[in-house]
Amino acid sequence: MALIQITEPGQALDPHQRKRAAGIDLGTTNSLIASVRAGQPRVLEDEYGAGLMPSVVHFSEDALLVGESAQAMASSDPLNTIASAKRLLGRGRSDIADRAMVKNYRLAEGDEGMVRLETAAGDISPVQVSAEILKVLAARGQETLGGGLDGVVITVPAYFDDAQRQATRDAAALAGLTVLRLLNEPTAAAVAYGLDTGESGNIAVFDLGGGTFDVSLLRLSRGVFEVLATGGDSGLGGDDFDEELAALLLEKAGFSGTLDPVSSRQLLSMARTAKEQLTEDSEVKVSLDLPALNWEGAISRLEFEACTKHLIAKAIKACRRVVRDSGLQSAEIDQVVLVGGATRIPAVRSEVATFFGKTPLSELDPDQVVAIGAAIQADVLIGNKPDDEMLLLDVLPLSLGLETMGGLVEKIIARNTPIPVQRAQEFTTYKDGQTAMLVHVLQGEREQVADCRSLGQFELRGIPAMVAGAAKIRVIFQVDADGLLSVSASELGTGVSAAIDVKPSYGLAEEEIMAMLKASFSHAQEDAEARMLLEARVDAQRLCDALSVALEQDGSALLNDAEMHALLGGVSKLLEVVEGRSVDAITRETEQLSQASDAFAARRMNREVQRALTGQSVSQVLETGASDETALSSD
Amino acid sequence: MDFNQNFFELFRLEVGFDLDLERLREQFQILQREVHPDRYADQDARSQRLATQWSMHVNEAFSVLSKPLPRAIYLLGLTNIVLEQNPTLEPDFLFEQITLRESLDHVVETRSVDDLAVLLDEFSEKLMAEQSQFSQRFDAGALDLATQSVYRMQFLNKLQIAAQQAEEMLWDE
Repeated sequence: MALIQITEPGQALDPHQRKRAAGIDLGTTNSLIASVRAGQPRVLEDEYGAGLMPSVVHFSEDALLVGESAQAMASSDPLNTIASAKRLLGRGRSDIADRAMVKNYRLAEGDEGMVRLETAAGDISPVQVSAEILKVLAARGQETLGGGLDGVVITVPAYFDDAQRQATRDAAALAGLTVLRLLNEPTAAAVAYGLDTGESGNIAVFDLGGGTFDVSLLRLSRGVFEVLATGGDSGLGGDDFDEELAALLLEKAGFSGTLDPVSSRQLLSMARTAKEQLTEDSEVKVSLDLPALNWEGAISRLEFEACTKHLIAKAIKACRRVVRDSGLQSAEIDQVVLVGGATRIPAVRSEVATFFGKTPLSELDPDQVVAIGAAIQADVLIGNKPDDEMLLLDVLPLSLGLETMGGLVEKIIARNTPIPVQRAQEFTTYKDGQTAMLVHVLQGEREQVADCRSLGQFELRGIPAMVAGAAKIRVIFQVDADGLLSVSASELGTGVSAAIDVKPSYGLAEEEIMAMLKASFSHAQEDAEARMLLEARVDAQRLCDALSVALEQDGSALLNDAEMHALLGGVSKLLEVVEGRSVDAITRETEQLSQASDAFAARRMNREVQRALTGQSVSQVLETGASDETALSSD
Repeated sequence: MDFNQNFFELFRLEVGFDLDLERLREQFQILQREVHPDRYADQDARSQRLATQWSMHVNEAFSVLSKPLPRAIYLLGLTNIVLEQNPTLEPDFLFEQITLRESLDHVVETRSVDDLAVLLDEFSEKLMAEQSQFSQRFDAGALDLATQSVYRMQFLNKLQIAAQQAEEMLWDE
């Protein structure tokens, strides 16, 4: 549909129909769902009053457990109990070869593509694990809000690359959710801190979760959250502190062998408990009572800090880079916000305070703040608050580029570029008579292809044979507001073109998702058809309604008689077709009418933009009349 | 919005190098408030695509105008000057560049973060001096000289990036 609906203050499009929207924090360790109810964002709880749900899924031949009940199986059945799956999302085998966590599971065979884990229920991908978690949370939302969710905002670490974002989207599709937006976690936290209430200033968000680390600098003014720079490490988190502490325990116990999976899991869980106690106490007693090892002793906070110092240093280094990328001086940062459970560690707090020269804010529960922010954004995006001024402007976390001769990466879009963004670059052939070109898309900051993440590749064929350097190949990169990339290439002389949505090699193939969806929903064929018809009708009706209103309001001012007549005719024709049962006909007519109304929509949009820029409110414009409109129209 | 407007017109700013950056940012936010796809998230795919295109255009304009070098190149573009790939620069300037490069290499060898910080300050001072040079020349209509300034800015910019990368490398150690 081409029509841009312009909502004016106090004029909700659909005042009586509040939609059910929720924010989901799909975390490494815990996940939560929150929603705005009666104007207040709240974390939704399960029947036992728990908000946090462990991001753990237990797979067995006959049953599937998610959350607390799955967590309970971790020690007795570690190999079938998948925790921290987020660390594997969108990852290939080679990415995680040296990762500590992988030793806790059995990787399925097959070296290409996304990691899969062997379980009693077959080979499971991290996307499926995430989908199971999402399904349980969505069910909780449905129960609490009294009906299916119309849309959700899912948070992702700001530093997630394209493959990891795609995988998150796939998990949501698999769980049957409509995703309004993938929202970066630090941005969500900034929103939750209620800093959208007319306050302005620069804010740093330091987000150390279970398995990922993000730091973002945002500039706030009048409800606009503009991300200036973001950075981090999508493989650094509280888990690493557990690992280090576990290794220290083994060292102190004088154990040098290899632990069996059950012992290893129990040790990790003891290490986690000890870590949490060290937040309050300067020393804790630990007694290891594992099948492989018995030991009693004490660990001091100083020892813990010494063995995790390098992890904090890594995080602070990322902060330094982000401050520089933002173009701000440290002194210009007004507030620092802490997010994520691992920011409870005293050494993390004090290092952050030292680096930024400010005592960080932590009034909100660091475990909940991201979900709360996502709920607020979901409520705005679904259209429940049409006159809300809040707007989030985010950036691309990692540079995008193409492979060029010699295994080098040519950057097309630099990190921290505001999204959505489109950039084009021209390339040429290097051999006489070359008729095809490989377009290899990469993400990362390094110069060598081998050091960047490969997002996918495709071939442009049918380039006419010319001397080297004569062909002009234009490659266009588009990144949407979710941070997802699509790439197209064309030869300018002949118009030969090729395009891909960058489906990373570590994601699921489209067919796989479809197959999984079919298996999980068992939608009968006619169900699907009925749904398509319904959707086509809704879309058509929505176009007709909106266009009619727009024509009534602005038709005479912005259109000549012929244009007005054509659009009115289009509306009545579409209304006629909607009565029929042909999905194709409805879709075709809808598409035609929306194309025909493109120019009108553009004129309306243009006028609104001009009004906004000249600082006139809509009511002022209405009072002074429409005299300046012809001059302001773009076409 | 009119895709044929130049970026200054889009933001309702006077064409020129010396910009009120605060005002640019305000105008940028006002425009994004109208065109960002989030404002159309509850609407159909086509509206969102349209909004995305507009939003991209605004982001592009902001990216160009908010940074000195792209802004200078854009200004020259408005006067139909196309930059050369391999421009001829005065020997004195090139010698100076070589010397600066050498000091950078030297500092990197000594691994001194402090010395590197001093060098970075020196680079950015030189860059700022060249920028004000460009501004004066452009305003005076001395486009050939202004173009020379842009070439110098390109050199200094590359040097600055190299120094920043070196600094990140030292942070890693």
